[in-house]
Order: sequence, then C-alpha cells, then structure tokens
Amino acid sequence: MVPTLLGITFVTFMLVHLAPGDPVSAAMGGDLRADAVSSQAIEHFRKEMHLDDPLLVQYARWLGKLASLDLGTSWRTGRGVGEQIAERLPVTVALGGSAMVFVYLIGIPLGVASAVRRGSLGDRFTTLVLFVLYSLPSFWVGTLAILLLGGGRYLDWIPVQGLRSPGWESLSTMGRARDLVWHAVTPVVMLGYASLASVSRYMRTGMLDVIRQDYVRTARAKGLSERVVVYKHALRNSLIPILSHLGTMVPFLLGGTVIVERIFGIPGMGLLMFEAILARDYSLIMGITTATAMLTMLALLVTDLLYAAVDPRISYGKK
Amino acid sequence: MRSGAQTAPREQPAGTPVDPTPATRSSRQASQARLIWRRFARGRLNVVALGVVVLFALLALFADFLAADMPIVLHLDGETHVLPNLASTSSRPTELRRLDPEGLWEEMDPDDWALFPLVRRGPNDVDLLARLESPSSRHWLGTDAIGRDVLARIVHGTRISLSVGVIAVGLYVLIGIVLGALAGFYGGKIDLVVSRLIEVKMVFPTFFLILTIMGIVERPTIWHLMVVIGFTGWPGVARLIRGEILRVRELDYVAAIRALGGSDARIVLRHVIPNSIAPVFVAATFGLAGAILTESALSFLGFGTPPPTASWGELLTQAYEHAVTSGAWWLTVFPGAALFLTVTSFNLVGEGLRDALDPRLPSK
Repeated sequence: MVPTLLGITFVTFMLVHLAPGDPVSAAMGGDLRADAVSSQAIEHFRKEMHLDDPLLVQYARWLGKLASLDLGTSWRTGRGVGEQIAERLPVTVALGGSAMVFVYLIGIPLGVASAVRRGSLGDRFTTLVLFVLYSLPSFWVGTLAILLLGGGRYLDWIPVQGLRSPGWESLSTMGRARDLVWHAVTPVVMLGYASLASVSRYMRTGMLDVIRQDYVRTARAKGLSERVVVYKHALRNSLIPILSHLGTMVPFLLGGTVIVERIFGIPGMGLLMFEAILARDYSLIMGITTATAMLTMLALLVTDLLYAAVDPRISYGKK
Repeated sequence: MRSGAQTAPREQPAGTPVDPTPATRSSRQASQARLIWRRFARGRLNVVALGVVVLFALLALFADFLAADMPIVLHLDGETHVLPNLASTSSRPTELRRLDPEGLWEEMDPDDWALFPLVRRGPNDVDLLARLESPSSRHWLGTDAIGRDVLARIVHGTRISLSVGVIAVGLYVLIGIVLGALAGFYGGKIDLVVSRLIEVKMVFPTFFLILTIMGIVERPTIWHLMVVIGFTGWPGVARLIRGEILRVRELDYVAAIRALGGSDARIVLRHVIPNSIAPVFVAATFGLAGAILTESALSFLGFGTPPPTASWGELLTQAYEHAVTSGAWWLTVFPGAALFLTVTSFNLVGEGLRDALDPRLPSK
C-alpha cells in the first residue's frame, strides 16, 4: 500500500513538472516573457514557488506537506487545494455512487437473464443493445439528450444545467430532495450506461460458471423451483466475479465525471479538474489526481474486504 | 513439474507446438487458423462487424482517392498525370501547381479527360456560399458552418481516428508485451518493479491521466495523443502476458526446449509469447474501440485533435456547437453514426474473437 502510494505521488508530481509547458507563464496569464517588468515578476514568482530548486527537492517538499494533508494553494484562485477538493468531492462521489447503483441494479438482472436463457433471442438482443450503448460516446448521447429533450428546440423534459432549480431556497425539504433527484437522473444515466455492458457480461459469465456446478444440479434435483435455484443458490456465488469488476469501475466512472459534469454543469471534481487543466493550475491538478488515485485505492481495498466477507475461502491474516 | 501440468495442455490456446518439426507445424497452424475462423464465422453478426471494420479501414487507406478536389488521373494537353497525393499542392508536378480545381473544366480541351474521386471536395475546402446546407445531390451529407463537405470530412476523419487507434494500441501492446514478458519470465526483482508499476497505473483514472498530459502539453498534436494513449494503456496487456507466461513457462515443452539448449530469448520469443498472444489480440481489438472513443471524448473537451484537422471527435464537437442554434442534424448524425458503427464493430469482432479463441467453449 505504502509503495503504491509513493508511486502515485511520484508519478503525479513528475508528470506535471516534466511535461513541456511553463507553469509560470501559465499562472501569470500567458505570454509575458519578453516584458522587462514582468520578467522581474516572474523571477519573484519562481522564487516564491521554489521552482528553481531541483525537482527531487520540490517533490520532497510537496510530499512532506501532503503527509500533513496540506495540498498547497491554487495558483489561480489563491484558495487552498484541499478546501476546493473537499467542496467538490461529495458531489462527484454521490454522482459516481448513484451511477454505480444504477449500473448494478440494471446490469445484474440482465446478466442473470442472459445466462439463464443462454443463446436465446433475448440473450443475443440484450448483448447487442448493451454493446451498442457501450459504443456510444457519452458526450454525444449527453449533448443529443440536451438538444432533443432539454428544451432547446424540441421537447422540454429534462433539466440541463446544474443540480438545482432556480427557486431552490424556497422549496421544502421534500421539494428540494425531489428537485435534486430530478436534476441528477440524466447525468447519472449518462455516466453509467456504458458500464452496463461489462457488468452484465461479468454477471453472465459468473452465472454460467456457477450454474453448471454440482450443487446447483442438486438443488434442482431436490425439486426447488428454477427461480429459487437461480436467485437464491446460484446468484450468491456468481456475484463474486462482479466484485473484481468494482475495482476497475471506479477509475472508469471517475474519468467519466469530467465529461458528464462538464456537459451538465455539475460542480463536482470532474469539472474542477477540467477548469484546473484549462487554467494550468498545477497544484490543483496534482491535488485532484492524487485524490482520485486514493479514491480508487480505497475502492480496491473495499473490494478486497468484500471478497473476504462474501467468500469464506478467502481470508487475510491469521485463521 | 507442477501438479497442474497434466491437465494444462487441454486448456492451451491455439497452436500448441506438440510437434516442433517445421512442416507439420505450419500445416497445423493453418488448420488452427481455419478452425478459429470457422468458430468466428459461426456468428453472422461477427462477420458483418468484420466487414464494417474492413470497409472503414479501406476508407481510411484510400481517403485521398475518395474525397478530394483534384482528379486522380488527369489527361491535359496530351499528357497524362497521375496525382497520387491529392491533398497537398507541393507534391504536384510543377506545371500543375497553379491549377485551380474549380476552373479545371474551362482549361480542358475535348481531348482531355479526368478521373475524379467519388466526392469532389477535400476535407478542408471551404465554400462560404454553401454554409449549413442539408444533404443534397451536391453535398451528399450536407455541409458544415463554413461550407465544408461533411462526407469529405468524415472520410478523412476516418483516417485520423483509425490511425490514433491503431498507433496508440500498437504502442501499448508492444510496451505491455515487453514488460509483461520480462516480469513473467524472470520473476524476482523485475516482476516486483513491473507489478508495482502496473499497480500504480491501475489506480489512476486513465482518462484523468490522459487529460492532464494533453492539457499540460503546449500545442498538442495528434501525435501527442497517440503517444499518451499508448503510454497509459499498457498495464492491461502486461498483466495478461505476465499471467499467461507464468502459466506457460512451467509446462513440459518449455523444459524440453531448455533441455535442447534453447536460449531464454528463443524460448520467450519463439515459443512462450506466440502461445500467450491470443488474449492480447482480443484486448487489442477492444482497445482500438476504446482509443477511438478516447480521442473523440478528448476532442470534445478541447484537448484532442486540433482543428481544422478532421477527426470524428472534432466533427462531433463542431456539430454540437451548431446543432443547437441551427438545427443542423446532419452534422451530428453522420459522424456519430460513423464513430458508433466502427466502435461497435470493433467490439463485436473482439467478442467474436474471444469466443473463437477459447477452446473451453463447446464447439457445437
């Protein structure tokens, strides 16, 4: 865990500092280089930011601050990076979490149905539809949805901007909740639909593996209904492969938030990342990259723990 | 020998060299290829998808002959000119440099003739008099906001989008195979380092990483994009190869080669990698689809293919800006369809290939 953590911070730092492109001119707003006055200002800025120290020294300094949870200040806005991330993170986690729930709620039953009726017309149709969804870029579907359903020229069915209606403050608690859900539905679906294919594939494969096993045959032989056999006996064990998918889905969804949050103007970490990159706000970029990597690591850790909880054959540490 | 060695050969992917003499080996490989093809072709959709992939590959290869403002073959003043590179003026013969494609007909005598491409417009030919025209016989798929032909741009965009996919995936398959093979075959410290690298890479959301690099690079080009996707995509392949090699290297035939005096390099390059490559092909096919999608998403955010170069992502981005204000549906629908058809086809081919290469599935 610790070496991975070190690796993450090292890669993040080096990536940002070794890439061509000058942070100073970016931070000071473009082409100021030739100007005498500004060259003095640049000198000052470089000194203040310790940009002339060797890279490893800079890295060590950054890491030291990181250890005490100080992510530095944003060069652009002058606000703390940690503070900005803390402000945006809950939105993204909620968005990603809802997308995950959506994907599993739809993907798992589809995968089970495909496995049970393997090779049927329904199985092939589901596979094809999910493949089609997987192949449709979310930015395209999202923009089409806004264009067609968002009240532009055609239908006015979905809210397209942000997470709150204009009169949010005056709403009751229930009204606020309903408003929030109403605004979140489209982004959540946009973020999640591409993952439906992989989840239902994993589920289908897992189910097919389990359904051929002896204990399933035993369950059938003792006269249980197909429904009980599939949903009670087979499903539990076939969920194990899905767990390993959880770990890969988190980084995928996090990447997707950049696009979805940008299209729908949702103030989450993805949008923050986009703004940070546009502004070349290096400390903010490093902060967000580290934060997302840590989120992923957390998801992997949870996956490992869930493995042990679900499968009694797996244990960590002493028996 | 491992206890699993006895059952393992049954699970071998295609082409296990049971008999290493050259003649039987090649005939065996040929029959293996036929077997894989037969399994693959069992799904009709697989074959259709493969056809679509081939079609788009041809579009990409022959883009210059399909959509350009200059003729492919021109017979002028008793001389025949073949103009292989139609896009750039500088590659034309000197006497033809000043040729204006619009006024070509007036210069031509009755004896002269010209063979024109299917679409008589280049991807960057601007016609300000024909802005945002809907599909017609003149512009089959309409024109964009500055009067460029959408079909011509899609045809040339195919070349860019597929190149990004092929080069990026080629790069990461290469890196993945080398690192995975080193880690799997030698184990120990190398394995530790590579595994750690894979682990670090796995926890980064790839899209964030690519976006960061593309955002930081000043004046990004299409080449940056390929390299960046290439350098961020290898861990999956490396993991596959490493796992396969760990499995294969303990098998009897590797011991046999070693006993015969085969060097490490020979074992890895001639025997172990060919036996472990099948899943990589599958991963690469899916990877192509992924890379094309990544390119389009990056272009949408403004960090992909820089305009005016036509790529599917760039086309869709342009389309979005104008579709809302002018209702120009053809700007969105056609490039979107091209992108979607290609990506779906690559994914279907990958899926079919995976099933065809998996000997454990029943071959009914």
